[in-house]
Amino acid sequence: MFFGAMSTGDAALAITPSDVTPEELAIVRHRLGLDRPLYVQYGTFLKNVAHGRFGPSSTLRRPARDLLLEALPNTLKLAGAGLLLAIVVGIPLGVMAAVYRGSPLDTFAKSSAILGMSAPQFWVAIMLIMLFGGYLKWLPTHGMGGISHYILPSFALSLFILAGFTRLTRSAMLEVLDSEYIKFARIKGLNERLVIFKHALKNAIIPVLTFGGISFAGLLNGSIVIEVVFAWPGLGRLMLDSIVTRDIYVIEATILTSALLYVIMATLVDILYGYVDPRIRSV
Amino acid sequence: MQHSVKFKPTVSRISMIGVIMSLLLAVGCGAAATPVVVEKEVVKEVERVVVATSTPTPTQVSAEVRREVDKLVVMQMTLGNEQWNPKWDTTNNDLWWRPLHARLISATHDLKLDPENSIVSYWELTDGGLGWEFTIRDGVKFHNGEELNVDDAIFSQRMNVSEEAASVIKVRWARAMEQHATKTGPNSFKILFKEPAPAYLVNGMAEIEPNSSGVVFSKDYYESVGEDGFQANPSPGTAGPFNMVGYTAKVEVLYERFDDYYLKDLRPYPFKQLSIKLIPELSTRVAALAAGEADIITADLNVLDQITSAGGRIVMSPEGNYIWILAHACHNPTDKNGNPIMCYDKRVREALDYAIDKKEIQEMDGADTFKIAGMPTAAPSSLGYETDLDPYPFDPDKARRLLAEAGYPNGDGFNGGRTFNIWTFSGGSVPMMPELSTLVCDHWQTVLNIDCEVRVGEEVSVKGRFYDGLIDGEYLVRPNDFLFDGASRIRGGFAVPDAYASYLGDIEGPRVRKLISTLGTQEERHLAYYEALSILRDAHYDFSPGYVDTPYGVSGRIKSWTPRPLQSAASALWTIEFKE
Repeated sequence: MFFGAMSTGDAALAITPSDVTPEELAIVRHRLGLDRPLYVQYGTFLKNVAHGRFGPSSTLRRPARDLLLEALPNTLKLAGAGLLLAIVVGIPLGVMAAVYRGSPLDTFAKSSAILGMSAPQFWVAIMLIMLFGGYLKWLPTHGMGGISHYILPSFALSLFILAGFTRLTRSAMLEVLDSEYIKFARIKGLNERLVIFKHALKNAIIPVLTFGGISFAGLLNGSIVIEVVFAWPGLGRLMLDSIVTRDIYVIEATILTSALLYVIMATLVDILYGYVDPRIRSV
Repeated sequence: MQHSVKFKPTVSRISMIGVIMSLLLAVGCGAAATPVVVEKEVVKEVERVVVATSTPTPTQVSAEVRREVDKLVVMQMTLGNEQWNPKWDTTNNDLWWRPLHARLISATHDLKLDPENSIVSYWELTDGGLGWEFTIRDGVKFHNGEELNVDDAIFSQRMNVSEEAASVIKVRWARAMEQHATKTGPNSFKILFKEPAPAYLVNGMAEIEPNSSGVVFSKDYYESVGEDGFQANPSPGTAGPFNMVGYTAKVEVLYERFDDYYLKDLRPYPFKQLSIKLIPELSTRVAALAAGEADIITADLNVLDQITSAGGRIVMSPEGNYIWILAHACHNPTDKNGNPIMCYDKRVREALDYAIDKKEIQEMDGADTFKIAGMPTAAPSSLGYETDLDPYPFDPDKARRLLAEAGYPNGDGFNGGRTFNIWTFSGGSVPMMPELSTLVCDHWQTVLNIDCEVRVGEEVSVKGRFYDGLIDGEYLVRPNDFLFDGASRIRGGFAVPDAYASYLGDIEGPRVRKLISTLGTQEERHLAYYEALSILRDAHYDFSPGYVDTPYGVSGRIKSWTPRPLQSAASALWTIEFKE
């Protein structure tokens, strides 16, 4: 990652004018520490990381860690809202599509899921802004704020996952609803709602849970496009800004953080999976 | 047997659905497009009588009632490096700090230095032309109410223009000084240079160029709060037309008008607050304009229809960027691998320029503001420009003849038979660069029979290849912003021994350097610059097919706005008039 960031280009060229002389470029490189041997720079980077620091932002002249700590909560909020939306809409829609299989609702759910998984995120985001923000003026077009500010970006961010939840839940529910113990539950005379939500969904939710956990990590890492389009001051946008300006320490900080978040989420999913499925615990 | 379920529209289910739909509608409609920071507009009619000055400008506000609004919202693509201390500023797109800071020398709308309305009310040459002595006027206040004095000017200059400054341009000026700003009287100071530096008035003191060299701030305030304190809260120690009252990094800067601004009568801003927001995506900015969340946005002509259908329009900031066509190492006959460098021969350089059909560039999509005028560094509004410095005309016969004279009739043997590359990068200030480069390549192929290819890359990476000598002899097509006084750029590009393009030789190089150092009146300097630019045009190491204006989208509530020429950001906001 360090060497990848260094290979993106000369950071000094990002902040010098077109007529910069070689000597002046050398001065700027020296100030940025880029004239040191690569192994020295790498050593400094490792030392900083070990101490929980990443070095200073070369453009904003603030510790990269501070910038990260400002941006990360914003991304977590957006990703959390996206996940909540995906769960609240995607799972019930998938359940209803399975329960009312073959109905117009099922057709709507399947088509929406396919569209949701195929539509490019940036296009969806721009279309939502133009329609609901620019044309109808129902919702804000950009930035962070109250609940209304979360609706469009969280929807655009979570659309793929929402569609995935719908499809997975539907498939899993269809499989479970055909199983013997569900038939037995019905024969016993249990209320249909109880059959669906207590017995069927509980077993169908396991693969959905796995998908959701990994997807949340993906939401955190894949929010660059949404954050740029909606001018959301989160981790993704910080990462993109730092890449454009060759702010090496910030690049490293954001990438490391993204990777760490992914690992943490994957671990949590594993733990949760074992909690939800007793068969895993007993293995 | 599969158990089938039919949907039973019971009362409870319908009620639940109705509640959910109502909630969604309430959230959607009730929070209609109202960003948190933007306040609701309250229209106020305000009597504003403008005092006429002795230097009237085309945008002089008439002594009539001018509508005032609570807030103006400007959306742009960058907020620079957000360093309020100008010592650390490295960016050109400078609207984000200009409302906060005052510059030592003001300028009229047509870019003439304006001592009558400047903090530095008088200046003169001293020490045989090596020094400048400046006199500070009384009565200019900082935002904390303290009066600006010569100590503040000296402190600011020494802090700002120093070898520790982040900007290479300021380092350059600091190194050119024999003696930095030194007090010579109760309200005067002097700067001594190693050689005549007439360009310092513009580059180092005035508000014309897009750098922060002439910014002045309070010495007492800075010393009382320190560097970190100044960065956290610079406003009390600054003297610009606005106080900074809100700042969120990488999001927004919020300003409030300073009613004791020393130029408030000449520049009556018709809005109490100014919000500058960072919105990277063009579609979002356009949607914000349509939604009434923005008044001015950086735009491009591809979204003209969307802007006009939303009740807005495009306003051009004149002479924004020129198209710069240049190659590296044209002073060498061969590159590092021993291959001949084509641009070593002046006839080849000229042939390439004559082969470009500039009118066809004008007809490109998105090139509606392209003008066939100016040359690298010098726009029509720049010092030294005259119309005979305009781009070479399209002359395919002459182009072929020149190429044949250079030894490549009909393109035979050109570049050793290898593909001749044009490098460019997408994005940035002129988004159509790949398309324009492709057009140039087509012209070279069609007119000169050169095997040409366009290589599009990322800006810093392409520049890196260029400056590292990896693409010697190959052309780079890129945008660049104009300057009013191009001395620094000419010097850095051509007239010092270690310049990247120090190709003018032992005679022309020093001659150009002497010309751009000419002392005298603006007219005398103009003539000297013209001669220097003529030499550069004749040498033809770089050339330009023309320039583009910078388009801004403005909302329907703005009746008129007159940006200044040669500005890299939205300028002259005091000229805005709102509709009734």
